[in-house]
Amino acid sequence: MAPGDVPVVELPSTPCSAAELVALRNGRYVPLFGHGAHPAEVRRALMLAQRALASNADPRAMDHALTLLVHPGVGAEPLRHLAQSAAEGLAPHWATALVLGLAGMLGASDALRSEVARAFKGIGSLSTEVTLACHAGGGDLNAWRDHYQELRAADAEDPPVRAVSVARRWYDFVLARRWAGLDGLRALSADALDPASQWLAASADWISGEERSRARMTDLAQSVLGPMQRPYPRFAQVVAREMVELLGHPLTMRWEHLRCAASRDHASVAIRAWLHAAAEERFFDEPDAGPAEFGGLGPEPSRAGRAAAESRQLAGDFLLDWFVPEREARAAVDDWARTTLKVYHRLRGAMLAEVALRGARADGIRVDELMKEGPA
Amino acid sequence: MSAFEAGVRTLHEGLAAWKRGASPGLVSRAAVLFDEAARGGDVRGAVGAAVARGLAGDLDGARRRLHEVIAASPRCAAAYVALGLFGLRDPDPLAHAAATSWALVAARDLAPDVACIERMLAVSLSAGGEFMAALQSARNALALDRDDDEARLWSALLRLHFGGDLSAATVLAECPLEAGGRMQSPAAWLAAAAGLYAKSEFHEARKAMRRAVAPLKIGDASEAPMVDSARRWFRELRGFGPGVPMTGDRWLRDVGGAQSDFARTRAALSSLREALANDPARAKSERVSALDVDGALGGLEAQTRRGMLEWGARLIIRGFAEAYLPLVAYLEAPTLEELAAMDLVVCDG
Repeated sequence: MAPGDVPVVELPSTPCSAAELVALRNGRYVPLFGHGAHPAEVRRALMLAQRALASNADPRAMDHALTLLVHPGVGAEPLRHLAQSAAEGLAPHWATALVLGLAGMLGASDALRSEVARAFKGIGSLSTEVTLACHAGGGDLNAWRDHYQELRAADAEDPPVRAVSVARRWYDFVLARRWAGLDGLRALSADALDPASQWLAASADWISGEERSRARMTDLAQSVLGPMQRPYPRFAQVVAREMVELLGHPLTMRWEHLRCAASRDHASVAIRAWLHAAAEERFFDEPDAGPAEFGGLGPEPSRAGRAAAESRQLAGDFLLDWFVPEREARAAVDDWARTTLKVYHRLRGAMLAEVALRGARADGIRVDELMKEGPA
Repeated sequence: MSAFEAGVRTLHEGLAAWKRGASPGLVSRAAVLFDEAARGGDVRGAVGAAVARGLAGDLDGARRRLHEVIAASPRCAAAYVALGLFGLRDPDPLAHAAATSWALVAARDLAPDVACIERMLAVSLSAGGEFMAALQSARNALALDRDDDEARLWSALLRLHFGGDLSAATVLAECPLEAGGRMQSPAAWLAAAAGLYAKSEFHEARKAMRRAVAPLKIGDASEAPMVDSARRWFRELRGFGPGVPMTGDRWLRDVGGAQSDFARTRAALSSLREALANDPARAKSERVSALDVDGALGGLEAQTRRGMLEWGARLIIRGFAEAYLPLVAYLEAPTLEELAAMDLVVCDG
């Protein structure tokens, strides 16, 4: 096929033709909202979701839909334009939620999800979703530490966002094997959380050995997937398949997680305890402390003490707790965490998309029938 | 008498009159004589000139000169020893520990079986945090010279805080007493303080600590950092506590308390083991064995204990080097053995 013969794709057909496939792989496509933030583009986004997640969808349609979210040439510029138009009231406000939700539902990679989310950074109603889409990841490139740092920074913001706190504590427990993270998750779960965050917290409980969490995770997933069952029947199958993969071997995963926990440097806490005890010392303040110059020693530790305490911080506490010598166990837990986060983003995406679909229906778009139609 | 011999005799005279430093006039004279010898092509003269300047206070100049000597005569062990000596006599020995160890390892390769080089290497490796290698060097030094009290001190300190061998505390406590006249520096009482504190003889430890800094003048601004350094180390020794980590009463504190990750991981592993024992068929189907869990439990304990000793050594042994070495450098001249290792001696007859 000569380069000139490759068509420019706006919406892949189902099943996808060879010519369309070549076009998608060569960047000869119009990304979502590439024509501007028009109603026709909104319909195209809805139809794309339909073609990816309807019951008779092409098996590759989810990948094709992800491809159409951004373009190698212009990146996420059309989405930034959409965000601007939505802010100005020129595009429906739910369209941004739909695109971000689609990225999550379709299982976008960390980089793609982050690129899409960053385009919507200025939208106040999506700020939590943008934060989580950008920072709750890291499995694709083993960049857990960077994502954890971002989450920690986001969690420190005032007022605190519970969904971000849940994600951060999940990282603490699952990836850094810190039990305080599990305690934090249990405390947060006691209050009202969105279903996806509850599901994430339950997954940490599950890997800690609480097998009843399996039923809870299933219930929560069902509650999120319920409204999506009619418009996107294939989506529930995808999530169910991934959850079977996640929850199939409770003892094995618990064992791998504990192996990682056991091979952490538990001794490193001691140095802090010793230095703290030293800082609490009042030895030289005692009455028989001797000459006056022995009275005013500053609280700072010795150079050796400082170096011992700071060496971990310099290397990054999280990195050292995650990067344990038990390589096989670490790889197994990392795989599990990667899949868990993928499902988590699918569920978050579904929650967002559900809001968007309600908006679409309110605007008179018959979502369930879009599959039968072509581009406007 | 050659210029080199005259330089050596002058240097020795200057060092014999050491009082918080060498006699400046004599050391300067020695430097001039060594320069003259170096101009005649004597490498020992070049090393002597650098050493004399270093002992007069110009550490950077001495190091630069020694590096020049090494560049010109890379097989000159004396220059490496001198470089090591100044690394250990630096006011901040921890900062120079790696370079000092490098120089002393080179010196040891060129001049094997010299007790004082092994001992200096043990000291620099301890300051650098290479405790296992330091222990081996200290033991080598003791094997070469059974009367090397300094090597015994470092060996005992390493055995106590890196090896977890509480019997070494007695050796440390008796170090200054046993050495008698041989070990001149009152700084050795600092090591005695470590031993006494480990043995829970707190009052004696405090007295030993005070004896270590007793020669330093009250209110002297130049000596105050050394006193503070020793006090800071002793304060951290008290924070570290008596005995060795994870023994007796201190176990729970050392691992961070009952809610620590160590304690909870151990409890979780025990509970997993119980679950496996209750349902062996399921355990088999998931390929998790109780033996593996037992192994992980044992590994967790052993690894944490080893880690505690490692962290303790980083705090106490390196802190000791930080406090002790500047004190020794200030109060004591280089020993005759060290001068001999730098070829700065003259053999009579």
